[in-house]
Amino acid sequence: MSTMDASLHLLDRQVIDVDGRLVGKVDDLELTEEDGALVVTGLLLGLGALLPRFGRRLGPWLNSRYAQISVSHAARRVPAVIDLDVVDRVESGVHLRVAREGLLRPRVQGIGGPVRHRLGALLDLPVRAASGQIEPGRRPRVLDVRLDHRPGESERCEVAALLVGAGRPGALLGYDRGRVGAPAPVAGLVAWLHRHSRLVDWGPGVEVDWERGEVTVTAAAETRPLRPTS
Amino acid sequence: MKRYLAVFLGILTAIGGFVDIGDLVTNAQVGARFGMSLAWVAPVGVLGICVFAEMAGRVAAVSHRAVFDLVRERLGPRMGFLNLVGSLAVTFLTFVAEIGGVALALQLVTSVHHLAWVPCVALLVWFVLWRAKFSAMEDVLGLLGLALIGFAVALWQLGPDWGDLAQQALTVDKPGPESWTTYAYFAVALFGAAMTPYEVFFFSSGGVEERWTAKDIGVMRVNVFLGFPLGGLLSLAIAGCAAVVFLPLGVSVETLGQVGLPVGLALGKIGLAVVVLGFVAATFGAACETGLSVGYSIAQYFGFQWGKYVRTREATAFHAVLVVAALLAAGVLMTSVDPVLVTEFSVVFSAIALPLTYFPILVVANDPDYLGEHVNGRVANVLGVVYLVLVVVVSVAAIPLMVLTRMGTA
Repeated sequence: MSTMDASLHLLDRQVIDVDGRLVGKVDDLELTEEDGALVVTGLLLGLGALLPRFGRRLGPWLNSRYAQISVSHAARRVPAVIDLDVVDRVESGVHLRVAREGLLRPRVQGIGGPVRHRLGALLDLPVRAASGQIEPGRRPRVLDVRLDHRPGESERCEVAALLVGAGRPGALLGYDRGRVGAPAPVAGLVAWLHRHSRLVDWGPGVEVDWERGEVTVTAAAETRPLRPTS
Repeated sequence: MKRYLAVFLGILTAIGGFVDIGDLVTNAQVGARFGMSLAWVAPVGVLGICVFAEMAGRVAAVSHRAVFDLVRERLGPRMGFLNLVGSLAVTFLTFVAEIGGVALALQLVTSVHHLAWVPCVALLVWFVLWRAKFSAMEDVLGLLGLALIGFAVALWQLGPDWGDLAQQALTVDKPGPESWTTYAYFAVALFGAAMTPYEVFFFSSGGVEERWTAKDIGVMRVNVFLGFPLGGLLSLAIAGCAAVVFLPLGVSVETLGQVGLPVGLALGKIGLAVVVLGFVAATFGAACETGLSVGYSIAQYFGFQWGKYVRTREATAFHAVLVVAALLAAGVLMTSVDPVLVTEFSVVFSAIALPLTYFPILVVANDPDYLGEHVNGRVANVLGVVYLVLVVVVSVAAIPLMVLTRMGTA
């Protein structure tokens, strides 16, 4: 089983079509609720996906200014989506198995369709935890989301755990996952800043309140340190 | 045989392409005011740009990701955007300075005022970026830039007291009338001139343009570690010429004509003609590089198709950015702002903006996800961290020094 961290390995990566031409950046990921699981179903591209990620206050403001430039467009804030099925493999960029011409279009969704969210809305959410689960007093937030499979593999790619800690998404620079250890001063500093960060398994005890923008972790949730303690 | 020729050509173009308007102006100014007492900054800056370019080139060769891809991936959209704005401002300022430099060099040849040349130069730069093949552009301008070797010949012909020059370079001292703050300010300016951020944007994006793979790392290293230092020697020769001719007279360098004057004194008209050709080639080459770098950084942040390795109509947005950049640069110069002054600002702001792009590259160069077995070794990391500290210190010190010394005029 190959895991990957959505923010570190997928967000903001270059999307490349089957002929090696550039399509855009992964501006956000589309998450769909499927019987309790949160499944990655598409890559979102466009300013409508990028601007909301500029922060909880600045993001919506920028996005509404962007919509205001042309009010006659109904779908201006709706980003384009690339279905995860057409992703061939993820390396330093995301390679597709189709050509880029006419590829980008918004998701058409009928009434009663599945409930969809954006990864950008989950990242940076404050986490309220039952005592003992996460170091208190450090304003823990969702820093990244661990996926259980890589896009392009045959199995569906769903959220396996939340990475919770102090700071902001991206602040770990990849040093926390134990693969990058150099240069030592930078690695040491990041490791020390994130010594209390933890992985919270997705499942019972973890609830996301998308309306209020808050994640609750109860005593029933399984948590473990980011790196296996040596 | 053909392979060795290609490597040799690469080194020659790296030498000829190393010097730009910032190096020409700053080195001559510093030579005239401080003699060779700031000569130690050149090797420090050149080693820095070697370390930085080698890491970025390696990442580009193995993962095909250029600098601003990495900036956005590592810093996210918000920090990445601030970074883009800062780096873009400096690169654009340098672009303006280079176009102004070409126009000034043409004024030296034709005696036609440089403002008349600005629109023509901007148009020609845009035309080259639109039509010329990437490798042809690099090779032709890089080779013509070698004409600046005239400065080294001139220094030798001037017959200076080499012992005296060496003593100036090797002892920690300065000419009497200058203060240590001004000394520090010009050290920062020289450092910024040697380590201009656009060089690395251009170098790594050029690696993607030329479709480098892991096999090309060796050749890339030879170009960097031979070509850049030899180009740095040209910078020192420019400073040396100014030190020999202007320092004893107490004359300061204010124009591009003065930069070339020592060569005229030593080698006569022919020598002067050769280095003025070098001025045109070096600044025109750098104008192309900075213009492309403006397009590269915007395209790499937003992810749209960039580069000259695809047909123009496959990268329409990228070419539109180049048109706008050339128009804006010409517009700035047509306000009759002094290109030498723009150059002075651009080298100092280069020093300020360096950590923005240096840090993400240092981090990614250690990430096996990108580089596999080609991650930084111990030497690259020790040098990488030393220079990380250095570029941060220089960046923080630059603005206070600029204010205290009133840009070196106090």
